[in-house]
Amino acid sequence: MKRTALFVVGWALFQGVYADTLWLSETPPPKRSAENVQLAQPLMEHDHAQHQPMLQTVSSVQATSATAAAGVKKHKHGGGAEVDADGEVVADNTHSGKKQVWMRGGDDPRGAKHLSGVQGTLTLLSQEGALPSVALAEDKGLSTAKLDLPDLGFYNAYWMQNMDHGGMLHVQVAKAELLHGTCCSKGVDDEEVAKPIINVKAPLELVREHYPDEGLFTRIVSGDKVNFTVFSFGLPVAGAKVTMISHKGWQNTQTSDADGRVSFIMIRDYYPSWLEFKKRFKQSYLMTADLQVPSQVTLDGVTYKSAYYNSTLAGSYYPSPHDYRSYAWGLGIGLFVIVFGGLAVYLYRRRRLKPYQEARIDDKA
Amino acid sequence: MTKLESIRTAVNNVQFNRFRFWLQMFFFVLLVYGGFFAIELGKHLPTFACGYNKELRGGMCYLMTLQHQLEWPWQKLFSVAGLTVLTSVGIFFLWFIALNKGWCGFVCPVGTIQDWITSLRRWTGIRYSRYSWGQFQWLMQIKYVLLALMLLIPLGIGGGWFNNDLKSPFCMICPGRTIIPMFGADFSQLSIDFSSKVNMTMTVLGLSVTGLFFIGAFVKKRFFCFYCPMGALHYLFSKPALLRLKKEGSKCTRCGDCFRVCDQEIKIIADDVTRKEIMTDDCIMCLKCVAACPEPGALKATFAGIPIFESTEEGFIKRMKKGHTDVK
Ligand code: SF4
Ligand code: SF4
Repeated sequence: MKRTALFVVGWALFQGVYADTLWLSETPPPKRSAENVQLAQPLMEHDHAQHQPMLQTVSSVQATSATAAAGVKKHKHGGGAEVDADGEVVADNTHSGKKQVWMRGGDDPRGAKHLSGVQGTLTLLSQEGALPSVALAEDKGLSTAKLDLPDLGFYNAYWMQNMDHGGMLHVQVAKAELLHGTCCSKGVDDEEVAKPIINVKAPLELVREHYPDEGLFTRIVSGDKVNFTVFSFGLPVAGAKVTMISHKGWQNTQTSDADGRVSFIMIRDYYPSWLEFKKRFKQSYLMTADLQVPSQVTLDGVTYKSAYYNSTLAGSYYPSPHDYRSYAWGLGIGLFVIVFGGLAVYLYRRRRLKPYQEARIDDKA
Repeated sequence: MTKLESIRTAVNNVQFNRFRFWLQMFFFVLLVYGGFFAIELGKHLPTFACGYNKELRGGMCYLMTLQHQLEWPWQKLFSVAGLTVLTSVGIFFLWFIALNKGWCGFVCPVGTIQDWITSLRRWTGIRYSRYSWGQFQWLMQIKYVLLALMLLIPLGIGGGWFNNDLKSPFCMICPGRTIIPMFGADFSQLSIDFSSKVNMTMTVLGLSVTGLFFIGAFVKKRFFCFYCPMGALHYLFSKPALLRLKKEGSKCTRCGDCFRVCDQEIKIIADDVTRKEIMTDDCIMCLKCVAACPEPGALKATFAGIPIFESTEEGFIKRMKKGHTDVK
């Protein structure tokens, strides 16, 4: 009886782990977000000393819930970054080397809760290699980390969690691709910038392929084709299920090919009225990748019967210029002014032209 | 003749139009394609090295930087960060004093494009237009109005009075924005932005001004320079500049040659025989007047007080023999 009950509880928690998509987001919580804050799902106690830091256990969540609640209250009145009604940041901080990421739970890029009580450290990688890790901390009742990106360029931040479910290894990898960008600095080596940063220690990782001329201020826009490669311990992996979830929740799932690649078209799901249209409306997308490894795996010296990896990566996209720019109108207006301007000058000159007058002098007169 | 004197004579006898054409070409390549050669002269150039020519530009027009800085929230603008604005003005000033308004006459890519359009008109044989004195008098105010708007609108944005879409208002109507990127095969500025009423209005204005620019520059030499707020800004800083245009009134016969070749129709260049410093706010320091003057020493360009190019009879005759066609 006792064993059955334990199995039921364990199974329920196990399902909870699967159901909860954890991801790193650059979008701060909306100002009035008390209802948006959720304590992390209590998980099973981990049973290996080498495991990555985990979410809080049931007891520790209980112990800190009061603090978290207090933090939420403070946050509610304490302001924060400016966020619009759709939960997106209004001010663009691409130019800044100071970033902040939050742990979020759920697969709705718009409404996913900002979590509290998540523990662990973020591994930070740049093109040049690893930077000092940064521990998640509670700020205004939410699990967050502030990161310093010293030089211009892309950086990857990873939060990883290992769990043992009765001999089956479950690893969750939440990754954020961060950009210390610039619109105006020249001499940026596009090829260098486009090189992917791959974490050879990550059991599963989604890497967005940069556009060949991406530079440090390129924005993904609706209609773009975006390619991703799925890596496992630094090697491309086939057969991983990859899902893209758009800002409004549209989903598309594909399986990575032999090179680990998947392609998605960034769909347009922003249809406001003209007066409400914002061309810099930042929308989030969320990528998830899942990989089952039915065979034996060894991680950190521990051998498991099988493994299940899942990885998340969030990003942003904007309305396409095709939605609001018109060359036909531009050229039409320019040509109209040239033609009618030219005509006006011609007529003006003709009007001022004095008719030829011949003066004849009659010598005999 | 000493070596220095022979150099002076050679300079004064130079086929000025040809020399200026190639110098303008050099600066055009430097500013419009400089990025291709990894040249970066910074963001404070006193000339229209358009910032919208993102990849290829060899430097950036200061007006863009200035507008961006004035758009800062007032809290930032009137704090220590405001020193950045002053530093920028300082760098702009250092660039500017070297060439004075010679930046317009020799360096500005938008000016050079207008000179090319003038050559095209000459080739077609169509005559050019001139303003009447009355038109000249009131049209010359426009550049100051544009300069004032260019400073006040960004300040208003920083103060929260104006819509953010009004950002860089002068850039939005500047023909440099629409034309210069095209030299790098970037035609993106030729579109109308329908994303908001303000963006739509500004891009329609921008393309209308571009249309006017082409038609205006075709019938009127240096059409746009007359309305250019950069020219107005230059004039505010021109007192301590090193390159100067000087006139020796006692040597002038008021023949009017200088006025006839002047693209900017500056009357006092011929009429005023009392003023030594003859450069006005509309002058672009093209020095065509110096090249066209037949009276020795009546007009001269000096650099830090040293004459570098002056009118001589010999130079005048040599240029005339080669077919000095600037009056067309
Ligand atoms: S061309 Fe020379 S002499 Fe003739 S009006 Fe001008 S300055 Fe005087
Ligand atoms: S006054 Fe002389 S230098 Fe100035 S614009 Fe006229 S011709 Fe050029």
